[in-house]
Amino acid sequence: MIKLTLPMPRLGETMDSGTIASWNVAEGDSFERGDTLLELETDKTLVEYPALESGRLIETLVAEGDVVDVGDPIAIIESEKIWPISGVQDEHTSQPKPDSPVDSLRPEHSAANQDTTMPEVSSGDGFRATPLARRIAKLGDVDLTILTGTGRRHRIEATDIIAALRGASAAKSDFLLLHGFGSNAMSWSGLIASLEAQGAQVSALDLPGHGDNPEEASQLDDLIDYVLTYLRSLSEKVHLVGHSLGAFVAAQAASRIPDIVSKVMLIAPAGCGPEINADFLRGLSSVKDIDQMRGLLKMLGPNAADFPDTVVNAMLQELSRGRLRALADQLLDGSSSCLDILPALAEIKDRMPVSVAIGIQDQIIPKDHLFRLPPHVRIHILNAGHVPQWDAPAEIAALLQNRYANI
Amino acid sequence: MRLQTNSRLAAHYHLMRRIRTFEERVGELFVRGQSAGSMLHLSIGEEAAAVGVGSNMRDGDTFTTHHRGHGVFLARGADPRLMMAEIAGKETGYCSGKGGSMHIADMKLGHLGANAIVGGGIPSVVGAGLAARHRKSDNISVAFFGDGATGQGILYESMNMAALWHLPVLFVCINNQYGMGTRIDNATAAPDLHKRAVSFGLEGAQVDGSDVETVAEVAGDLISDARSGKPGFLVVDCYRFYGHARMDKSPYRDETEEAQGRLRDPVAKARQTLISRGEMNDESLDELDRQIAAEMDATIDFAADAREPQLDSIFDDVYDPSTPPPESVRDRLARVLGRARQA
Repeated sequence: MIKLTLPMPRLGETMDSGTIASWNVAEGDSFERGDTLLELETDKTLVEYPALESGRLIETLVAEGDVVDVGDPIAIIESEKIWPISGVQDEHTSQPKPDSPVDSLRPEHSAANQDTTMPEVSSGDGFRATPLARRIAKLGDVDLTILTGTGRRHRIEATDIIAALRGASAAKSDFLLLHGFGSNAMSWSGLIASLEAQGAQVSALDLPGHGDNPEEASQLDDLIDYVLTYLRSLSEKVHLVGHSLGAFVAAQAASRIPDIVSKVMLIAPAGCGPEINADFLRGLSSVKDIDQMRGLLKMLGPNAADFPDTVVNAMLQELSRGRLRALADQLLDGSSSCLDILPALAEIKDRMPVSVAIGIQDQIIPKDHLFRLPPHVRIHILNAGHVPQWDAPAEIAALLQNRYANI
Repeated sequence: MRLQTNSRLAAHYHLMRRIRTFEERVGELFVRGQSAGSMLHLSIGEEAAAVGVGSNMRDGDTFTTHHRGHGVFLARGADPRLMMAEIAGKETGYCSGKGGSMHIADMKLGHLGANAIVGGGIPSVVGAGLAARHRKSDNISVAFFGDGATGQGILYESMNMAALWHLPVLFVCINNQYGMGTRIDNATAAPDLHKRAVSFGLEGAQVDGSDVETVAEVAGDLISDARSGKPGFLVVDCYRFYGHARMDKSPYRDETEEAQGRLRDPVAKARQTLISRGEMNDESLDELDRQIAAEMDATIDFAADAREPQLDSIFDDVYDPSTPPPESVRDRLARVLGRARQA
């Protein structure tokens, strides 16, 4: 078996980019020659992309809804042969396959490419922008190299250019959401949808060691520093929301640069006391199979216990890479938590309103920790497990938007 | 890869499987970015029409196809390597790479041309039938087209003339239920298309396109009638398994309808019948399928290795060789001025 990086195919002469409509094979699953791997939307139609050889899908590099340029990597697969498509890369050599048929036989294709894209800025520095963004940037004379993209993997999107032209920071948001240990930005999707439905701008970060963030987290400060860097890039104050370990990070960040934070909401915060479900944390950092994953999810609350296999598998896929082992060791001393959030809360006491939401069925952090919180913190008790934004999403959204008029 | 049986159904299965595998490889050629153009129309699910009719035709018979004509040409003896090279736009293709998927033609095999215009190939067979009669041959000419072409006036003009002049012609309507994205019952209030032909004075019949033996039997009768001057019209009722073209995922169709339509599979049905009759077994059929897969894999390699057309061949084969070359401007001026001087 060879490991290959699969590029976005050109399915039609005029196609420069396409939208990933759906992945039809899950990560880790095998496929046969002719099976549809994914469906793509081009500017004209919906096309299926069939497998050219049998193999296994190891990792998808783009998600449904992403707009991807032709030739950009979309997946890592395992197959017996190199696929005869221009741009397929063998992971071992990381060299494009020489004399790939399209390039050698159809030189006009590469010529056409150059016409439709802007002059190439070094691709080695991680600089990425959509063709539309490049076109608008050219028209508006915007320097792409000084922008930070808000797209996936920091790709510069058209909206970023438009924001830059208006003189606004592309990274303005009303809410900044920080996930907990072993989670990622996707875990907020329900809450983001309800906040955005009310017209709010919401950003959610993948913290180092988590999700798509390429940076690793060898210690807790890596997470805090990452959030501080992000906060410093903001032009306006933000309502900081953290969950569990993310709540601890939020409090630390707010205490270091309070000027950029308007309010803080801590959901099931870590660090109010030494008691913690250490088995859960260690379990997340070393999870190996789906049964174990399901057992861990059950501890999170009623909602997580019923996740479909695809979701559980995706979580397992991410966690089983073992990126969080070092961090778990840092957070725990034997079976106790090493974190203390109270000094940071004391520091921001007079700078911003702080509220805490706690689920009474929390099996990870004891709900009794709420008695240790200082009096200036507003406490909301919800009928939920450790992840109230899953079990009581409407209530969390209402709290964040201050929709309970009498409190 | 010769069949080790003289069963007629086994021969039909062999040809239908070759058509299907060939077209699957055409789909791959597109994904590889090596097809000339992206409008590739696959006839997967419709193989029994090509094979059932094609197997009743003889050397010297001629035909035209629509845009979905790979299967018909293969059923009439095309070399799949030269077809794949043509679809890839290569010099070694049937039309030196200038025709592509939708404009393949080969006079030696009687292929008067695929035609991308809906119904565009139909009138040609009336002329070919007239020519066959003038030559006093017993050859026929067959037009293959889709249900969408029954909405074109040229079909009715052609049927009328063929019936009026008693021409050796067969019209084969491959009704795959969809004209691009429009289902037949959204296109006509009278979907019994063969009855229209009867009203024009032709023989008309409709057959189940999932059963190649029935198609071959009915087509055989109509073709022998056509050879004696009684033109016919055959509707092969089948289902287009995939989208209109390789680019189309047919989002306008219901998935349960697609799943049911794909059960009407002439290749699978022929295979089952061969096994139930004891003419072939799973092992011999699997071995046959493997040989066909290898044959069709080789067509892609053949096409990939073939040479691109040379730039200076751009005007070759474009004009009829009997047409005199255009007069140069200098000659024409001299001629016109000389005549003026005389006058």
